[in-house]
Amino acid sequence: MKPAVLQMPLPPVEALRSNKLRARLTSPVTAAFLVSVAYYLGAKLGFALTLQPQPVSVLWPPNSILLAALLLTPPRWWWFLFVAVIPTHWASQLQSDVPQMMILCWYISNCCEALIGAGSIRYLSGGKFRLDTFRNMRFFIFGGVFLAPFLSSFLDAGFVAFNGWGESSYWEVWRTRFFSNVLATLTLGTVIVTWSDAVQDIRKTTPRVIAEAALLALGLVLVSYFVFVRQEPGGGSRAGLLYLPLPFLLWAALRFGMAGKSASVLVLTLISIWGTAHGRGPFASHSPLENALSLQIFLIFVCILLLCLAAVLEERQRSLEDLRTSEERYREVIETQTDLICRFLPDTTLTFVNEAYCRFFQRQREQLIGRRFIELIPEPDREKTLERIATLAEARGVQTIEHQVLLPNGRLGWHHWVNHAICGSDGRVVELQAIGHDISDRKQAEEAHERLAHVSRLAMVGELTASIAHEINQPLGAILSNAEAASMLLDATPRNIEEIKQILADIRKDDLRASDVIRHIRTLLRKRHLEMELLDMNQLVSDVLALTRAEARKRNIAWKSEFAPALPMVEGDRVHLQQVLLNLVLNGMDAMADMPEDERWLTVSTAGSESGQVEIVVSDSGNGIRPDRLPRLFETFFTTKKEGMGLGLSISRMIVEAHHGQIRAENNNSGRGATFRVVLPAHHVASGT
Amino acid sequence: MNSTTSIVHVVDDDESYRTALQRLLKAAGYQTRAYASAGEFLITQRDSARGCVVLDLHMPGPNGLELQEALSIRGEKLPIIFISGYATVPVSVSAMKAGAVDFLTKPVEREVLLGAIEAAMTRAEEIRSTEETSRQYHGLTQREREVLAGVVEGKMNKTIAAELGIAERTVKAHRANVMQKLNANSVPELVQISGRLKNSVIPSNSSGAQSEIRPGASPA
Repeated sequence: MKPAVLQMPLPPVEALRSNKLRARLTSPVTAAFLVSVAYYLGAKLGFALTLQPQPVSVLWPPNSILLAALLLTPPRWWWFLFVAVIPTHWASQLQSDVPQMMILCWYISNCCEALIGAGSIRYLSGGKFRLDTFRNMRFFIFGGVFLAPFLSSFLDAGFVAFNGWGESSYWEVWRTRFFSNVLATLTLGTVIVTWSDAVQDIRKTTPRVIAEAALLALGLVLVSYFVFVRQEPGGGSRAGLLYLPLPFLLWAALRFGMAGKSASVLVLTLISIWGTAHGRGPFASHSPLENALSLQIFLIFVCILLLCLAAVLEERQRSLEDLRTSEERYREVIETQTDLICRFLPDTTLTFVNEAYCRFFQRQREQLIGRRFIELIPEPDREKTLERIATLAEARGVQTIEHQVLLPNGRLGWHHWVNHAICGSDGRVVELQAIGHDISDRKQAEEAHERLAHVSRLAMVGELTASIAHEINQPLGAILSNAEAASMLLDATPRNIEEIKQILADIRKDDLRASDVIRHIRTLLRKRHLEMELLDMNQLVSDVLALTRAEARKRNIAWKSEFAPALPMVEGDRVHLQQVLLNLVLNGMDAMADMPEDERWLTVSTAGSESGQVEIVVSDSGNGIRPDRLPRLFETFFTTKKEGMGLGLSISRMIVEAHHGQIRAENNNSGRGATFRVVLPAHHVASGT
Repeated sequence: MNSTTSIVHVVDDDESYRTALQRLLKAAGYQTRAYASAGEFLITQRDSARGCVVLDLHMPGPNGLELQEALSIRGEKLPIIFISGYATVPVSVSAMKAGAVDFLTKPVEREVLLGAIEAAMTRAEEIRSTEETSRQYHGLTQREREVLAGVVEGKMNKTIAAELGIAERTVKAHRANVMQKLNANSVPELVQISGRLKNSVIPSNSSGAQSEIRPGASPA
């Protein structure tokens, strides 16, 4: 069937395997031609393998050739194939003196058998058929090997009786036809079906495989020849020799799969029939009919046995191959990742690392596996990381960790990891799988931002110096006056002890007040990382307003604050959020510098929304923001102020976004002034537990 | 040490500071009254002729400078001592120009504060007596004022009579009237009173502050 290989557009990979068959028989004309030729040759072969003097064919190939052709072609071609074999059927039968009516009957029964076999197999296997699984092989044996010959043999025998042709009885005809068709399907049918598949693989075979196949073929031919041709007829005492070809058949099945096995069986079949037909070998003892029967039974059993074996083997091998392919695919996915992937025991002992992991730490895989990766983390981060992993082992979920790592060059980097817990059958965490990547650059950027934020805080506090001095001098002034009043009261007679006590209490109170202000400023000036805590935004706003109160007074700005009651808490960094608010308040004040004094007002308010957000609104009555500047307002180094650096709002946005919030600016509807809104997600009480 | 009618008015929004200041001033023997805002001070009935004001510069609502201006418009000549948590030079200069006795920064030491208050009280006394003299001056007739001017310039009666075209005897009578109306016992006293009048009457006639007013900022 090789000549039928035609060019086909490349089908998608998953469809390729099932399309292999069709790829070879692309046109019904080619298929019809091949089938009719094969049918003719098959008929000739069938006549040749007839045991003389009785016209009994041990193996009748045409039916199985037709059946195999139907299995390899789509059903819409079938009628065409049936028509195509009509001339060859007649041509082959006419040579052997068969009456015209009988030829027609044979044709009908042959077609019936092929149709029943192909139809039932296709039906059972659900359309596409391939003799490569144990399941499909069962359908093939049931439909093609058993059912079709079984039913069509009744027809055959009926036709013979109807035509009154030959001397055999009805059941004799049925039996002969049945067994010869069964054997033909088992041997020739499987060869055609499996080889149509294997043809493509042959191109890929290596010389070694070809040599092995040649050796096998040679051995098989020799052994079969020795057993079935060289042996004297009816060698009952040496019946054991029948098993001599078996090792070769097993060899074929094990090493060459279905195709190798079917070819070997066909060789054995042909040689044994040829030997028996020539009155040689163990089966040439009784009447031709009985010889044929026992040979057929022998071959059928060998065939079915090996067919099952080969199918199981093939199926197993393919599932192994599938497994290997999928494993390779996964391995490739893992190994080509730029992300680091590893598996480790709860005590951080590594059990698997991917290529990227090895590359990152510049170590061999063997140097890493079996070691605890905690050693790759700098000392200060170790305990925290171990604690986090322990919590995952308890929670059995997914977690993300960021920690520092020791780089091969001795410096420190940052890693971000997503860890999954893998639980054993008893529910305990047996292993953890983690995917990580280097975030040193991001961390550096964050640190740069933090430095920037710090500088901008310094600048803001610098701007507020006068106001802060006022805030501190207020209590200091009170303390001094109180102390001096007290010393004068101590000199006076009578001494007013009660008043002195009251004075001391007031001094204490004012002292605390002053130190409060200083502490506040110090926190604001300290350079630090984000420290998340639960914050009451109303409190935070009042703290900031306390800092800027004096400034507002200095600039003759009236303000109004509106605090929403029962505001949900927000998880955030106190200092950074204060910085944002401070920035907005100072900006608002700056915006009103040119306004008449009685038109300067600043409103700061808080609000909670249904959707779980907290909003802080800072609104001024200045000149507002030019519409063309609104979109660029939060960009770094964009400023509308003469002395501005253009950092305040961009840092504010960075801080707010680090809190998963939003900052927006808009001009007031009244046409006077602008409003800035900071929206932060509220902390969910439920998720806190 | 002071007359019982001299009161120190403390205007400061910071309650704690207000109380402390009141205590100190009370211990130093002053009578005090406290106000939490400029507005409260303005609406309170008080004897404007006596005492001084210790005024916080920065307060919600009208601030210290605005209160100073308001008092000036109302013609209340209370001496003012400014006290502030912080002060910039321009602010303190404008306060001093507008007639403040002193400009102090918190925390203020007792001696400095009491010295400033003493100076303010002296100023209050001066203001009070100047106003008295001014009132007396306004009681003089045109002819008497002309005679006074001549006397202060050190002219002889005869010269004055010749310049004004009146008899020398008439000049003597006018001169005696002036001495009596202005409570002066001698010519040098008359010159002194006249000098004081020049300082106070002229600024009240021409609007705006006069840099002439240079009170004893430092009581030394």
